[in-house]
Amino acid sequence: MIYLIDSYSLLNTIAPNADGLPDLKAIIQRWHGERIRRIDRYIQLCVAGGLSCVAGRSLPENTGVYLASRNGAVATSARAMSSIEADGQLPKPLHFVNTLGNSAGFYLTQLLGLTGTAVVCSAEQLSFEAALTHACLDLQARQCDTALVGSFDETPLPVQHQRRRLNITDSQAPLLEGSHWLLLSRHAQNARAKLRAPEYTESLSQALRREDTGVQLAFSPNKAEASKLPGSHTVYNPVEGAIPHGSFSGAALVEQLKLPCGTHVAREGKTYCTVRWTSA
Amino acid sequence: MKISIRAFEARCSLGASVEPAVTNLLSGASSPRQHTFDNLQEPVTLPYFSAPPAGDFYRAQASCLNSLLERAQLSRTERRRTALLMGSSSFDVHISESQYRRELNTLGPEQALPMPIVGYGKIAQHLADQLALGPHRYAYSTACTSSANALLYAARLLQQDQADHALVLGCEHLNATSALGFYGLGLISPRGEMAPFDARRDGLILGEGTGALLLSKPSQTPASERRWQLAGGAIGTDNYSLTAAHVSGKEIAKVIRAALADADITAADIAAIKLHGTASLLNDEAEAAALHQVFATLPQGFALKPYVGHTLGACGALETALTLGSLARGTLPDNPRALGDGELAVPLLKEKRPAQPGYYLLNCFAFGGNNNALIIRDQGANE
Amino acid sequence: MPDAVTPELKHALKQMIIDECDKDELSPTDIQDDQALLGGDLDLDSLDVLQICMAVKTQYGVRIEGNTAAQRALKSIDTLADTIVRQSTP
Repeated sequence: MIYLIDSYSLLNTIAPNADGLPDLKAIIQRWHGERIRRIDRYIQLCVAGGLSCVAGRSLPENTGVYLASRNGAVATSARAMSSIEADGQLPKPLHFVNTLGNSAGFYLTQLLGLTGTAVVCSAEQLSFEAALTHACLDLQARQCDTALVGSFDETPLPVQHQRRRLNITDSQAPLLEGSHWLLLSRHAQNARAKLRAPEYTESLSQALRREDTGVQLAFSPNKAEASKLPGSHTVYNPVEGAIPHGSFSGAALVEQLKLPCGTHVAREGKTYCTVRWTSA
Repeated sequence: MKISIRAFEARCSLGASVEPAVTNLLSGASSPRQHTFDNLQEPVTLPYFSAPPAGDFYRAQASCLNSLLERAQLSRTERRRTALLMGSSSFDVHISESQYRRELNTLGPEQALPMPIVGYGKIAQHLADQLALGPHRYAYSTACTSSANALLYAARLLQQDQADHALVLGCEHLNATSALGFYGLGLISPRGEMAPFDARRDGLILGEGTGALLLSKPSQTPASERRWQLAGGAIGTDNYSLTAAHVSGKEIAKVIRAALADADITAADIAAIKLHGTASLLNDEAEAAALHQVFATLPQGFALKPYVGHTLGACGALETALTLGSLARGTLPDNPRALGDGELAVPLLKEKRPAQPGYYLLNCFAFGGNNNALIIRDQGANE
Repeated sequence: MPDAVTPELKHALKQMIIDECDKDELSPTDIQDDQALLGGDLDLDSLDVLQICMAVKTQYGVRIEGNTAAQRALKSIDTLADTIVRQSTP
């Protein structure tokens, strides 16, 4: 059995003409007083979200850390690339190391004193669910007793660059940045809910059952999909006009987890992923 | 449940497919070429292990995976029960770089978009659609352990019945960001030779390539294809330093012990070790220290990076495929040019030895302290 | 290229170290000319050393190559300024 101990979500709206990004340092400082140098926005999102979800708890050293990002360290990768291609210079060492997949997790595990399994995975719109699936595999196989699951994506400035990367043509659409987290355990102590591992299917009618309650979709259903929805549901739409991107489905799941029991459905291509929970 | 490794493929500096690559590996034929990055203000020339050209990057990955599906004759239904796990440190960043370069020329630096292609999971998603695979499609971005982690989670997915089969793909393609990033960190061998565990070691040489493996649940594997098993593995975190393992080797020793326990064997059961062996000063020291903590007497060891370079995110899958290819010929690869280093005391095989059925440890470690150890079991050709 | 060690050069080097190593909490006046840059209060590591050497190369055209040379040049602001002036004066 997998238990939800806590969750945390940070979702910032980045206006179409934004020339700055919301402060994350205050969130980090709440849990770690000393300023952490040499970390870029992407790593800050990881550390801010992860520390806030753990919220000062002391975790077992072998806690598994399951990270996801749909797009990774875009801003720093772009800086390294423009150093080379536009300026004809070598990428700065600090930029280069921050483009590597493990760097965000390195800072987080170091701050939390964790030395167990850590992995960074990605699966387009099901990236958060990918990290959750990996955590559930390891919890069920008793590879670890506690798991920290997080997905984070940045919106680097300038916004119009990121819109081009994401192929978003609406120049008025706000973009999002976020960091979404779950703390899971094999033990029921202090648990908020019992969670079932994500289930994957290719049909929406199989993704949902009649008895499902608190159904929330992390996507807008098209007509064909709408006709297959068995009962009442809501569609996660936190920011008017924003087109889902990055770790959006993580934001949706963490928001819906405020209900004592519920069902979350996300979609990528023809695949639907369902996560269900009931009160502990 | 021990997962079967039914088929594998490799493309690297040693050859365009696994058979010629293993032939060249066992004949010791390999040396890096030079690659010049000439659009820098001061051009840089680096040694590099280039793979034979394979045409369109995406199509090459698809055809490599498809060849494994065909070899195993997986039906349409079986393909729907097949997961795809891809590991890379750079994915298609080389295509991003060339798009950006084109835009710099046509639109100028104000308008050109750096890092135009984003989405680590895009390639796995496209490949799985193209090959009509099932819903588990994951990309791993843990730098040099990316495809080793993909292998481990492929086994775990199958053990828990989330799929019947899994394709694992590790790939790395020459790109300026990785090559010049490593060069900027001072990690590329100035002598242009990789000498792991050797007193003369002075750094690594990068390489490109693809390693691909097909894993199946034993119940879904014909008896004739059950020779190799992924018997176990583990991941651990060493957050001592962003760019180097703790030289005590403590965390690496822990991950090796966890892998042995996962495979339900002891250190004495290991027949040989495929070392990570990056030939960088500190990481070889850490790997050596860890091995001496785990093994009372070190088993035979060999390193593949002197032949194919450090293929970063691909090395887990690629070096596993090359190891299996060598075992299939009943021979352990050697490192005849290795002098060894009295201090590290990790003797590499000086000459080829017959490979015996048994358990093999495969080490793989990454920047950012992500460490992976896998255990492969060779049950021998006749079982 | 600087042809003499001046207070301005040293000030610029201090600011460069603060920027390159993300030591925002410091200002140039917090770093003494003869203070140990490595292994002292500044707590700079090997990654900082690489970062500083690359910035010196870009800004002053002076190469500091190899670990030994870097350790020697980065003993203090004084030695860094000396290294730059010595190597950029023909």
